[in-house]
Amino acid sequence: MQLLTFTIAGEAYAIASRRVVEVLPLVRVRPIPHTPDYVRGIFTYRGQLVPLVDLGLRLGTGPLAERLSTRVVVCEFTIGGGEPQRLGIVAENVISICSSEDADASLPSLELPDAPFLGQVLRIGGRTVQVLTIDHLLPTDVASGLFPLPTATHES
Amino acid sequence: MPECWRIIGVSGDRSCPELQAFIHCRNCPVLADAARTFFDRDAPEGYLDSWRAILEEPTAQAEQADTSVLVFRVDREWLALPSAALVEVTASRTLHTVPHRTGTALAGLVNIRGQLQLCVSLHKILGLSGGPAGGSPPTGEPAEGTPRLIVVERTAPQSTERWVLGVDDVAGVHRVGRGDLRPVPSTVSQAAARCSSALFEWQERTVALLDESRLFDALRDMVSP
Repeated sequence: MQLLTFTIAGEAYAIASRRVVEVLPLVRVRPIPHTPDYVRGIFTYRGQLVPLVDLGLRLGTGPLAERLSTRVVVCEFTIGGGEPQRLGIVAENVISICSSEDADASLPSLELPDAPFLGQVLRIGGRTVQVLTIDHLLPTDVASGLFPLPTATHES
Repeated sequence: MPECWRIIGVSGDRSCPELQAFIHCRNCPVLADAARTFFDRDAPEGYLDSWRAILEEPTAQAEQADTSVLVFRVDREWLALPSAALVEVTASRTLHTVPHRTGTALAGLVNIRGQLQLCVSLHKILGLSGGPAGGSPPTGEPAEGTPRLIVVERTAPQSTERWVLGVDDVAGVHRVGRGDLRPVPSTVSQAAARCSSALFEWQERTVALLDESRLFDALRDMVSP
């Protein structure tokens, strides 16, 4: 599996590159009231409104600074096997990709109740990389709130 | 060592021992790491807003906005054909003339991958001077382009037509924006205007884009008795 690696608070993380749509520079967002602090807001991506999640706050290491090297990774996010939605995540040092086949050592997916998005831990090229599962990045209630199902209103 | 490339590297006195292995500082991981930290600074005023404006633009529909054409030269005219009609471009080779058919637009038969195909002189069809570009190129002349054969095809419901066009030079496949196409002026000679669908500028030259279906019809009219 190809992985896109980045850092949050100096530690290496990765997501499956298959789910990545585009890597963008940091962009100004419109905040959404009454959302958890890690939801930075919403921005327009190619004519589509896309929520933006600050991975620093989601992982509990503090908000990521607005630096020239900070990037927005637009990726595909699915809820319960539905249609893929676009979700932006803020990350730092989005500069390399690697392959999970090159891992010297690995730990199977973590199963922590408070952090279901933590996947495998891999040791690749002298770095320990924590893989994140995009689909579990948002709790179910936040995900269904940010991506309401359009069918429910159309069919009623 | 900070900014070692200025002191012992290629911008300095070149005394760095690593230069033996890397030859130039741009190949050295130390410089790569330094370059990585270059953008590790606060975003300037207005940077985030400028990207918001850029990303609000919808993506350009590249597939619809431009068309791919093969640009080639016949005599002094630069022409283009939609590359959808193109099968292959091949080297010029021996033409087998057909008896009682010399002097017409039909230049002869040519062997393309083991099959005999009709080779047509575009010069005659478009009313341009010069001979068919088949056969071996004349020696002694300055090498101004390489004569080549263009194999084109039209797939009709009943049959497939395949023609070989002799041209004086091929400049390759290029993309043309639909907005850059201009109508053909009425002053262009009849024969050429009949086959051309538009004109466009390419490398400071005006290229006539040939309409493949009209060209195929003209080929048929000229060759069939």
